[in-house]
Amino acid sequence: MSRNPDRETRVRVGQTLIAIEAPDARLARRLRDHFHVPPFEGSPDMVVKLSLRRSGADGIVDSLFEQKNVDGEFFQIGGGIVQGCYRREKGEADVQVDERLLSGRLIRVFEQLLYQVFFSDPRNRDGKTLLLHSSGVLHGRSGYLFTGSSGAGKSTVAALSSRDTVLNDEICLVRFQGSETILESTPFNGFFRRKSEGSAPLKCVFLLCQAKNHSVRSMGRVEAVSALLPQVVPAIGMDERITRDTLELMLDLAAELQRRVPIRRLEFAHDAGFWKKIEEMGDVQEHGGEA
Amino acid sequence: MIGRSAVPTPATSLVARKIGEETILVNEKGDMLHTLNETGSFIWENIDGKRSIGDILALMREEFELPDEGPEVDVSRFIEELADKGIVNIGP
Repeated sequence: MSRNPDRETRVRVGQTLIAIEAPDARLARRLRDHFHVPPFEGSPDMVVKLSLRRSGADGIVDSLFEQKNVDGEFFQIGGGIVQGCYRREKGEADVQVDERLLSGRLIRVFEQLLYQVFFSDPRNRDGKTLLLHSSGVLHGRSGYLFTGSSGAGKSTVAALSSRDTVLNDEICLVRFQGSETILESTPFNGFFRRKSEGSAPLKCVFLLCQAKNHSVRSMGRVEAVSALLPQVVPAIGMDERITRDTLELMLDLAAELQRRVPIRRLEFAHDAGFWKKIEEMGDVQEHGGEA
Repeated sequence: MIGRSAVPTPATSLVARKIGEETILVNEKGDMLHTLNETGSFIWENIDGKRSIGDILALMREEFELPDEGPEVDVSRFIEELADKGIVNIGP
């Protein structure tokens, strides 16, 4: 089937190339501007055909992972603000989206649908791939992740890392590749827009806490896994809901990340001096993750 | 306080993972997190809907070389707290 490139936006998340077909060229341009993506060649792995509607929902939920009903290949989220049909064998979905979800800050909620498109690709369900709510920065030749709940300072860290390569301040991709753990950029958007594509071996993960002074401290294994778990994006496809198996996988991924990479608590003030604290951590270079 | 003949059962809505000697418990919504230390983990692992509190206490005495006095109250209280949090259910 031929597609109209004027109405298409392509985003690459890891090894998955997602084509989003908009109902008109104007929306397609808005999506391309939002994701700030270059034109991609080659066949997409997943195709999402969008159409807009005005649902009857009073408000827009802030999570597309909850309030989700699934019936075979059909799914409905948040009382109908997103609904559609995913044909798994073809890697194609027809999705009707409440038009409010594609404007202003709510487009960041729309992005959560693309997390599910990413996990609809079976290659990303290998137990070695996770999306993490985090800020990712390449400092020197190493990758560093900064994570924490909303308001913890992920975007602030990105803004304070102008001398480095900021991959993202919202969602980063982590892959377990043999003995290495790789940090990769994604096209998703937080508040920091000057993000770059790239990847590097992941050296350390920092749990963020804003404070008056910079300090770094170790974390116990359970403390670290407990803190990581809420930041792991549930690995479910468009035609799936969060189940017990999903939670078990999220726990396994958080535990595996803690096993592989040092997890530290970073208290940081509003200046870039925290990088000096990180550089002073000699053990980050030498030791693995397990305490 | 619950008696030693009571039989606790793990809540089916929880997912548990052992990390080292400790245990993380998460509910199905993913929004309730409990952590158990080494002793708590041992008690949790022996809550199976069949063993009574007295049975669990006997296993603990053997595993941790506990004295005869004291631990029964602590174990019962601990399991009561787990029940209050919805982590276990208490049978007769």
